[in-house]
Amino acid sequence: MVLGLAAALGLSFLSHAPNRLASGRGIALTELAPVLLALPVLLLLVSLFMPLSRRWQLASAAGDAALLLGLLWTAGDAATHLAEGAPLARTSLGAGFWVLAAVCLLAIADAMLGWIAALVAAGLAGGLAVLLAGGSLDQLALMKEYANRQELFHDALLRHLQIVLTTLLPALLIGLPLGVAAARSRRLGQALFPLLNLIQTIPSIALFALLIAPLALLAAAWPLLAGWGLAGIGLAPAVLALLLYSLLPIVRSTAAGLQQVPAAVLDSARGMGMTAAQIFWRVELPIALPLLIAGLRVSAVQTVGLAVVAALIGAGGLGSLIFQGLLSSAADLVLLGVLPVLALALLVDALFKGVAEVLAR
Amino acid sequence: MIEFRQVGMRLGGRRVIDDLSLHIAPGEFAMLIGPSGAGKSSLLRMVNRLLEPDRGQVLVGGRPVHEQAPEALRRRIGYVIQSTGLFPHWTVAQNIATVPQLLRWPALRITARTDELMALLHLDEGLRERYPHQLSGGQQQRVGVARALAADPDLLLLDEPFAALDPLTRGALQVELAQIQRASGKTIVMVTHDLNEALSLASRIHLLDGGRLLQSGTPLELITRPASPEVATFLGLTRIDLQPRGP
Repeated sequence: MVLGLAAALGLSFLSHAPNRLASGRGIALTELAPVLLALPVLLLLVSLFMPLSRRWQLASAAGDAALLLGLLWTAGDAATHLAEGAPLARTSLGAGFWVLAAVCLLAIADAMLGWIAALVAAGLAGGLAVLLAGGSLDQLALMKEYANRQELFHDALLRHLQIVLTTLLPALLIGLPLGVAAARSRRLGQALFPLLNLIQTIPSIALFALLIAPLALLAAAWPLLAGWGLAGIGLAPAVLALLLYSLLPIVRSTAAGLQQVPAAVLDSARGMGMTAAQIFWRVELPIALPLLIAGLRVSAVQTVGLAVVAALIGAGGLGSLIFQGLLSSAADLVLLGVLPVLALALLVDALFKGVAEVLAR
Repeated sequence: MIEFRQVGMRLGGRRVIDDLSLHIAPGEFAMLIGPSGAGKSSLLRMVNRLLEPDRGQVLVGGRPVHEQAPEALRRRIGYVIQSTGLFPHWTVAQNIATVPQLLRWPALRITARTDELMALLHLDEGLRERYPHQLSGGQQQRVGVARALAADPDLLLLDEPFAALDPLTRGALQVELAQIQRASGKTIVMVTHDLNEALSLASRIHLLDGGRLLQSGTPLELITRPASPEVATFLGLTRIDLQPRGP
């Protein structure tokens, strides 16, 4: 961590270019850093050597969060100054910033425990919102890319969410019964899991490509299906492929959850006079639920990530921003796609983790 | 109360119960005893239709069980197993209230009955909202017995309920069960392989081996008049030094 800090101070904190296409000039943190940043840095260093008491964890996590926000503000402030009189100038966040941000996040994650996590996450999100709303970050290249493509970005974000949801809901509707069936019949499980495992090993780009031909043929053969939106490219193959990927975690965790219900519990449930449906809803499902949620969590996070690749077959989503950025070597545009995907994945992960914790009481 | 009429059952080619007839009168404390694999548990599980015989008939309350809906039949019969089978995601109170819930008793009646049973089985009031894994083995089995008694069934089936408990706890629960039985006049059928348990609790003992009934009788009858050498051996009545010596 100390090494990271040292490296971060040596690397360029920001990169400034006269326009979007020119390559930038590095600016070190030492050229910018106001004194106020010294305090959280000191706190961060001190917290490394302090005992792991609850109070110190909270203090160090809060300090790290403040440092992160301070760095962002510094970057935004510098960008604003640099942009004066040069509207085309681009100021990007440099390697130094990212290393420092990573160090902060690591330190925060280190201190994350129970309610501290929620508190710090809320503080971080709140601070970020204030910085964004206050306009202090507006002159950073990332935000300029956003400003130029606001509409496109919102469409992409919504589309991404749409892809994820239209994948997860059917995945749950199909995966849950499949998992139950696999838990009930050992032979079905033995046939099903190798198949799902096989699907999981197909690279996502290959699976997307593989689906184009059969779906296009299907759509051509039955115009009715095409009318429902089925086509070789676009949303349909993307959702279908993502659905296939998301099945394995759901089916496996459902089956595992049901199989771990003790035989004695099932025996006594039957002996008490529960019907098969009552046994499933009142006994098996509640006992299997924590594992089931864990599987759903894996599926959801994985789908958020994989949905990026779906942009390649015209499904849209945040992936389209990323690939646009990659093709025009505009790193900030790539970031504009990557950062929301990351945030979304973290959010989904935290959401399901929260649900699982509530269920575990 | 219970009658087995020439009951037979095979499981995977093995004859688990072999042409067995047996009668258990109302108010009896009947013990099914015998070595492992004698068919005791299978016989018990035929009473509440957890197992179905291939041949013969099982009657409960004068009616063949196969004419009674299994769920309704089971809700009228208390059932306790060795590993308790308590629902791990329900509290003690919820576990005890299982059958009353299934029978849709009003909430107030369920609460009153739960209180009554917890007192009867010496379960501390503070355990109400605990989960099974927070209880000792003895407490768990007390909850198991309370759960079986919840809807006040006339008939109680117990499958080696105390086998996994330490001797002290087992003794206490045996005494309490005997008191409950005497006070309520319930019919109890209990499976055990513990001869002492059978001799001290049972009003009638049914000794099984290889799916056949070797002898039925009061503990005294079995000890004083064993029907066959096998019975005597199982009861430990043959002394080793009286066995014929080899050449």
